Amino acid sequence: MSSREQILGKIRKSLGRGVLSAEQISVLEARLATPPLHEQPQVNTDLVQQFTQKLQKVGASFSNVENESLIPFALIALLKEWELPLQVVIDAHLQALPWTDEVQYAVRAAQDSDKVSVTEAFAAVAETGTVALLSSHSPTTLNFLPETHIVIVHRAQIAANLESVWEKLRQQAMPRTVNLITGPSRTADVEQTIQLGAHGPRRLHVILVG
Amino acid sequence: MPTTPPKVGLFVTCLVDLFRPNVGFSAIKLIEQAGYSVDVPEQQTCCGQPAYNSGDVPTTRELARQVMTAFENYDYVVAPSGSCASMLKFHYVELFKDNPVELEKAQHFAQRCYELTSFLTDICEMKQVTANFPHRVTYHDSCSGLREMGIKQQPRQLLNSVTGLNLVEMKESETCCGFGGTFCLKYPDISTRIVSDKVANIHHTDAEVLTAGDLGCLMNMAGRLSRTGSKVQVYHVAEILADMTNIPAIGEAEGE
Amino acid sequence: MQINSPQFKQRATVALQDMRLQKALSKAKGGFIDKRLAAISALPEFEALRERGKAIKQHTLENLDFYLERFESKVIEQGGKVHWASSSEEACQLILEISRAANAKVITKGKSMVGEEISLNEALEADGFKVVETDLGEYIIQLAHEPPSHIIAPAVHKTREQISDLFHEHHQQYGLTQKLDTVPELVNEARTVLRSQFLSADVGITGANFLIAETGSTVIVTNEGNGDLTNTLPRVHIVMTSIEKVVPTLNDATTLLRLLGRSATGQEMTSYTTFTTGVRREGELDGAQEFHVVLLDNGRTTMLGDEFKDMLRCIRCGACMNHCPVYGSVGGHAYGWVYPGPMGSVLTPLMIGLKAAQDLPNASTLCGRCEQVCPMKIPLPTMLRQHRINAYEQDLMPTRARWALKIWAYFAKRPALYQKLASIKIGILGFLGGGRGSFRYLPFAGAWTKNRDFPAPQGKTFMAQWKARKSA
Repeated sequence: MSSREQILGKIRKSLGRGVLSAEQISVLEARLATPPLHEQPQVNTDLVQQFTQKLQKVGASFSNVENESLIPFALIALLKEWELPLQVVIDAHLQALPWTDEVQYAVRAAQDSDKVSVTEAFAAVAETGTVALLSSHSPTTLNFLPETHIVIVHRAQIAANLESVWEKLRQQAMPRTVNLITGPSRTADVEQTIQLGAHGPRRLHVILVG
Repeated sequence: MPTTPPKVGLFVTCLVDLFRPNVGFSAIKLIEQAGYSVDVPEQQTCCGQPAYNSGDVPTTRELARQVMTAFENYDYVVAPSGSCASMLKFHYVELFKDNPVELEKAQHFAQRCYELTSFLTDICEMKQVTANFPHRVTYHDSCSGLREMGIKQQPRQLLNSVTGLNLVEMKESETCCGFGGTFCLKYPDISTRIVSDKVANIHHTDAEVLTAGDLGCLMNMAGRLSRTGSKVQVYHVAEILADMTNIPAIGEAEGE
Repeated sequence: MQINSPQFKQRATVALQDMRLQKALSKAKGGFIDKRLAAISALPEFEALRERGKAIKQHTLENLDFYLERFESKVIEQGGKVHWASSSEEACQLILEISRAANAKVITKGKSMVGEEISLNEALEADGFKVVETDLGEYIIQLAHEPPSHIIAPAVHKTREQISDLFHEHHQQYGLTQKLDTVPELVNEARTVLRSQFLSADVGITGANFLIAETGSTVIVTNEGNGDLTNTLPRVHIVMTSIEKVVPTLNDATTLLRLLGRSATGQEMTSYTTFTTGVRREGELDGAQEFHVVLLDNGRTTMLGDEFKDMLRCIRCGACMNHCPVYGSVGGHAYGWVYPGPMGSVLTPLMIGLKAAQDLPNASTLCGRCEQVCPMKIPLPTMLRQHRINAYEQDLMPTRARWALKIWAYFAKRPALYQKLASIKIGILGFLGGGRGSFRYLPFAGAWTKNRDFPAPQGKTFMAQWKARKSA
């Protein structure tokens, strides 16, 4: 008997039953097909306000642009403010933006030498100040290798709670990686003192569009 | 409508019986002040906690039966101890899970069981006591009383009604004192560490007197206070509320 | 991992005298307790979420076979493989085979308590693989050749000075020779050293906080980003996990995540909560190309059918140990194995045997604070007592204690006799102690009087006085 059969058999034995009946299975299937919505924390009606408030609380920063075409311009200003070279690695969706020659951008997975990455969010969550990124939309390494990670979030993308993000995600196939990112990388492993930039980005910045 | 007033059976607790009878007599005085008649059935020794927490279920069952039989004719069973009261109220039923007849008996019994201070406030609706104790006092929340019996406000409400008593809260009043029954004998080093932390918190309040609802905790803390040369005096909350503090504090010699 | 639980008492005594450890422990304790309290105070729905979390897990456990099979088929659908391991040895064997097949040289690891449970690092290193722990706390203890002392903060027992010494000693080989002092410096150096390991890894092994049946996803909850670099950069990604981690849907996981962050570190969400599903997809530019999930049993199927079933709800937040007065005094190493504190005292006897781990469920005052703070409402004190009941039935209690109990029980069951004897004994004690009020020393109570005075009894038992009054 394989370990698989052994384990499943022991589970049933411990639960004092045999294999589930067709009826029992259909009840479980129904629950999976329509995942129940449980209690959710209350969120401000002003989703943008709560989102940005939470963002700052977790040590991320944000800035606003009225529309997408202003993103490259805003980016240049940020990089100059942070005294970083005008070189970024971006995800493919951002290629279509009106880039100028001032900024060098690459469209690929990230490398260790990259200092700044820019990715478009799939969704954002006001409850916790979280951005949701999908590997099907932007390479995962962009979220972790560079020291500065910039995320583009459209105001309309900000949902109240995480469950809305799942609803949206269920309309498509699950990608290899869903990253829910809430602030920059941190650790408290040395004397319980918070330090940013443990292995992932030291700086997380959201450009809010709209 | 019953014509006889409700009868309360006092569950003395083994520690009170052996080491500090004054607590038992204080409890009787308080319950009588509340207008109830109190009796003490003699076929009682211990609630069985020491056996239960050592894993000896058979002995615990025998003691449980003994207690339930001794108290079967009382309307209320009151103990001046949160841990003994919770043993009677919540753990006897666990002992008889597999025996429907005894389980029912234990359930009926459980309904009648109370810890002293909560009995006074919640059942007798006592709002104040007529005691005098002009001292700065701090209260330790014994674990079972707090977490199993929900005793928090009740003793404080009554202590605040004592003339001259100044109640101050210590930091971490809800943290264990390190007694734990046989724990303090089996793991004395760890127990000492825990009780030392408690003593530090007591001293921080500048209280003259420490009180609580469980004699085991009080003896443990009194022992450490005295060993470290502290001047803090220790009384059971029943003694303070009943105005029966004219005897030496726990661990104190005559004339101190 | 080496088993040292039988030496609990000695290790506890050593721990109590270790000033550096005590300093580290009190710092950690206050931080965890205060942060958790702040987080849950800010969430009015917390109690409702606890009830819901308990219900979700109970439902899942009742249908564990269904949900595990569903999880498995979803993983396979997305190009992954699922391996079932009844025992620790089997789990190690499976991972060794996968790593050999991958021709791996360097293996990076995210933090995994299950990995500790099966002694994975030892097995991999014995087989010639270079294993690099990437969670900073795990990395520190790997350098120190020590086991973790806390399930969330493995190096909580280490001071900054000790970490500085470790880095200075072990980073020479990378040409990093400066002795560092501050937290930022130490973290930055670790970042640098580990970054090159991440990039050179052939296999990455992570644990899983949750497994999602709905989608076949494994979930990790981290703050550093090391878990993500571990599961993304190498060609082969292995998730080492256990069967009770599965939950039905993404929504169910979300409820549990709300409980986990707050209870563990006082965070609403950690920096990175990552859902990994299968292999790199067509068109994706990075991500592992082989995905394996190893599902461990190691006694959990037995727990499902006995008095310890509720323990399977544990989401490994660490709140119980953070609030435990015993853990707070002696730290995690005293417990001698993987899981310390209250949850460890329930689990360890189940996994390494009650005889070896007997001290753990006994070294508790049953104060109940753990149950009070457990986000999953696990009745920990009840299960600690159950271990004591099992130990008594298996005759594991030390002889002297057993006899003392028997003698006491003999009298306690005979009130008239008990009261006569007590009267005499207490009379003597009262007489002897009355002058001083306390005993500085009492035979048979040496454990008490070592550090405490023993309050002298009043001199006449209550029952003796009561009887006297009645007959008067």
